[in-house]
Amino acid sequence: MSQELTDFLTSLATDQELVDAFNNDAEGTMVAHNVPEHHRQLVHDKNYTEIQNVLGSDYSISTNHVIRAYKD
Amino acid sequence: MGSGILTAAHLTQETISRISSAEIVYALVPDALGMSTINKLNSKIVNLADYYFDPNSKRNGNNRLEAYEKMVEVVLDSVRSNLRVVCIFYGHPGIFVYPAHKMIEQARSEHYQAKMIPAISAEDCLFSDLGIDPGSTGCVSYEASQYLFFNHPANPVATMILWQIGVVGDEFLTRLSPAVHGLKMLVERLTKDYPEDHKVILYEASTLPIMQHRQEEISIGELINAQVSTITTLIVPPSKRLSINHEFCKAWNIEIEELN
Repeated sequence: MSQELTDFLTSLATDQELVDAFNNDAEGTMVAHNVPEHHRQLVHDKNYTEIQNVLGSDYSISTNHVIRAYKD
Repeated sequence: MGSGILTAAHLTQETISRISSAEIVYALVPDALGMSTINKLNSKIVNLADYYFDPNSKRNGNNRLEAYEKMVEVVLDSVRSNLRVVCIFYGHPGIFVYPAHKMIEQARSEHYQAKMIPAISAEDCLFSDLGIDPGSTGCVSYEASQYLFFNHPANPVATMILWQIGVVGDEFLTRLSPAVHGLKMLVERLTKDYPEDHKVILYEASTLPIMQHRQEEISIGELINAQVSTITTLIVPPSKRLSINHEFCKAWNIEIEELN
């Protein structure tokens, strides 16, 4: 897990000014937020699978329903 | 309550307030950014992923249902200790989330107060990302395996949303991928109601603020070889146009011109 990458992406989800800055200068914005170089490269490469691995996301736990009706 | 899909952006003010004031927070949120966000609001957090079904070790039961029941008991133990408990599920807690409904039902049966708080669901993201209005032609929504195994009537004039195609065809709830012939069964079932070349959409909401949602249009026949995961949803657009119920409209003197 990368705390810098986690914090940066979390801010990016809620801060439009940061989104604008990122769209104008992705590398500079990530450097300013101390995102490590190898993680910046993952962002540039759009390697989302590896980014999720770095973050520690696990979408195998996102299926939470059963098949049958459970209320009569 | 629910985390929404992109938790950091989707948590509602009400949910934030309740998380912050809880004495214990249970969370089943696959999104690491989401868990980080929740943890900053309240550090007394228990990750329910530790209780999720593991097909390899089976430490949490023999199937997903047993794991869900275990989660219910874990959360109810805190309720019975008279703690102010919050339980957060991915997306909307009431939409395709068995344990959320079950734990509320159980808590109320034991005379504890329990409330479900709405949240942004994958369906909400879907309507936004794909520009589908469920009011346009109507919309039906089924769990994918239930659509296979039960007699749901065909409704090809409405949009159909099939959930959990990532585990389609697994009647035992023991897989985190489609059954061996799950996608083949899905194609066979769909082609009872739709032509095989009818276009459908594989959809996955964006899980990172830097990525786009998945929107892949393929034919029903191509579903057999489709790449699907536990977050993939299938959208089947209407294959037939809405038609007016002339008999009903005539009986009630409805001005048909107003419906066009």
